[in-house]
Amino acid sequence: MPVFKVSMKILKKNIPTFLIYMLVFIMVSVIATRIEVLSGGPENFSDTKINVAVFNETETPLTKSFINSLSEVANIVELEDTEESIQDALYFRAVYMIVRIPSDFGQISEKGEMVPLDVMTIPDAPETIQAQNHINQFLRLLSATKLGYPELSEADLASKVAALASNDTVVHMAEQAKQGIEGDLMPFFFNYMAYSYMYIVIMGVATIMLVFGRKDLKMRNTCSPVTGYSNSLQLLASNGVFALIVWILLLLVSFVMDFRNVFKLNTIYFMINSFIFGLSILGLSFLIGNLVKGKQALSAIAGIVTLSACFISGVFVPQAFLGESVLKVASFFPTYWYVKGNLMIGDLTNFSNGHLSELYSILLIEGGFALAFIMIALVVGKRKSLEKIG
Amino acid sequence: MIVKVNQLVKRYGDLVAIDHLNFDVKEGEIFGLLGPNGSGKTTTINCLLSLLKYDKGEIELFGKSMTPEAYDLKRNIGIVLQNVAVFDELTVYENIDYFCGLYVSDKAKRKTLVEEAIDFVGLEDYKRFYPKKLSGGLLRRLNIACGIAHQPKLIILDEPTVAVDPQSRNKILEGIQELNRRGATIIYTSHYMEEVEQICTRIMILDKGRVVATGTKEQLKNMISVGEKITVEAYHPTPSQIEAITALPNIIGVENSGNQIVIRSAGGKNNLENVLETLKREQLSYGKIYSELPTLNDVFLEITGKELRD
Repeated sequence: MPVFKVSMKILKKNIPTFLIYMLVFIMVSVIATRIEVLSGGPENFSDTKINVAVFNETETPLTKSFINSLSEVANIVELEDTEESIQDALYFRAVYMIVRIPSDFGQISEKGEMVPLDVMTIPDAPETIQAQNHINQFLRLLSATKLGYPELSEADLASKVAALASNDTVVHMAEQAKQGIEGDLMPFFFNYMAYSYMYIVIMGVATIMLVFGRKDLKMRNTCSPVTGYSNSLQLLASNGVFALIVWILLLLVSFVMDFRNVFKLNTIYFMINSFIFGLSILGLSFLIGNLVKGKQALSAIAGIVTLSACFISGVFVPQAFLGESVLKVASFFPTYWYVKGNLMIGDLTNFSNGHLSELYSILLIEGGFALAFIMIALVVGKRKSLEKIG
Repeated sequence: MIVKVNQLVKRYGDLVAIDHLNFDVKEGEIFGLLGPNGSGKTTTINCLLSLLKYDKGEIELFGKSMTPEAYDLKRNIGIVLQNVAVFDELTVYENIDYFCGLYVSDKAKRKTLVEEAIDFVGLEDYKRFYPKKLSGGLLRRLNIACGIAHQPKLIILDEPTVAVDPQSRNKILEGIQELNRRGATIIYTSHYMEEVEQICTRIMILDKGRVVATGTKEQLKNMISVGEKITVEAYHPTPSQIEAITALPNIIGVENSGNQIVIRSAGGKNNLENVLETLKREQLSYGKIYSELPTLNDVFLEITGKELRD
């Protein structure tokens, strides 16, 4: 395997260059990770209470119970009961809601309906929705309890409604749901990995191909008893080993970055997705290496191909923000399917075949790209070797 | 017969690079392909190695037809191309090991062969050097080592001494003769007639893709009328003095340029002695006198009417 061995030696000589690419990638990833942590993910969500002023015209056990219940979702603040004070408080958002409890609160009117509360809110303020829902729920419970237990005294009615209002429903998630990954870091990391992985592999593979593509060396190798087929296979094998090493290194970086998700099933799928993506990159790099003629041109082409493919495929900008026509073009690149696969894996909580079938199709498409690129590269390589030398 | 070429024709568009070329190389020969730049030497070599498709003709190596897929034949050929074909990324040792490895898979055997090749070209002190650190002469030697390390039966060297210092050139030429003594048949192309004359047992002179002459150097020199060339430094000889020289036996031409007389003789003995006696008799004072036997350049000049290095 002389061609394989020499390819590996050439790669070894270029290790410092590849390390620089890798370090830049790690640095950018660390920065992105910090930003992710500082900006706070969904796990850092905390409930906030709005300020509500309550004007209670009579103090009864029922009104007390109502105010207690309301205080679970709102801060009850004191406010002067004048029109000016109320308007100022609402205007300056000192309070979001004003509730006036009538003296006959809890009584049934002549129409057979519950005497309504007088509620005033800041118009179209979404912050008040939770408090409004809470009030409605309390009133529904009160009404139902009153109808169901007409014999109860007001004090008993108040304590019954309070007990019903404080009832919690325990929701049990399905077993698989616990398997989902925590946070968005892993999908983000694997998406971003496409860029560095693609660039490094294209540069590495094409560097080898450029050396073996030098006219004098090509002529010399053609004179040897090593067949063109064996030559191509040895080159492909060495390039494959290189892509594999880069993949493993990037995986290790991802594990260090987001250790808490390493043992999740999602991570296995991320790994499979990136591995198959690596095969398609390998094929693409092999093709570029067969077509490009100079090292400067290689650097430029690697940059253009990588950046453009990553940009339109949603590596930097989420696919949801990209136009339909852009995504249509992007679908001709394996990067698009890789990112799509990552998004799907990131959302996976159920790993049944039904849920995974779409992911399998994506992986198959990526594999198809790999096969197509490699076949085209081999054909191009064969055609080039048949070109006249003189 | 190691090489047999029959009616080989290679065209580049309208240009006929090789025009119905016929030649053969016998086992144990150092066969020289001599010709000016553009005469078709490298094209012939590339066709021999199936690096180029040719338009017409047949090429046989070791009695079998040579094709791009004739890997069993390629195994017995060593090639030293005109341009140095080595990996800049590998050391001297690694380069030779790689090219030897294309032919010899056994690691232990290869190690011995590589060491032998390094000793043979005198690169023992440069094993760990990268090609960029080597001088032109050393690079050429490395190129040769890469081509011969697997000890092939047929070695093709395409102008291996281009841009090489005289010391390295001598070393390379001695090495080629040594390879031949060890049993290798050699095809050597050059536009340096002295080199070809020095090492080749048989020579084919090419011009514009055609064979001008083929034979041993003696046979080639016998093809032409010039036997000896005598050059005399003399200041303004008179016409009668020139006439006296011209009248000498075997003299076929005298050129007078004012301060130098070039006398060409058609073989025979005592030509120089006769010329010296005539100069004395005619009282022509002279400086240095050179006597040269005909060279391949004279052969080329007489056959084509132009200098080999035109």
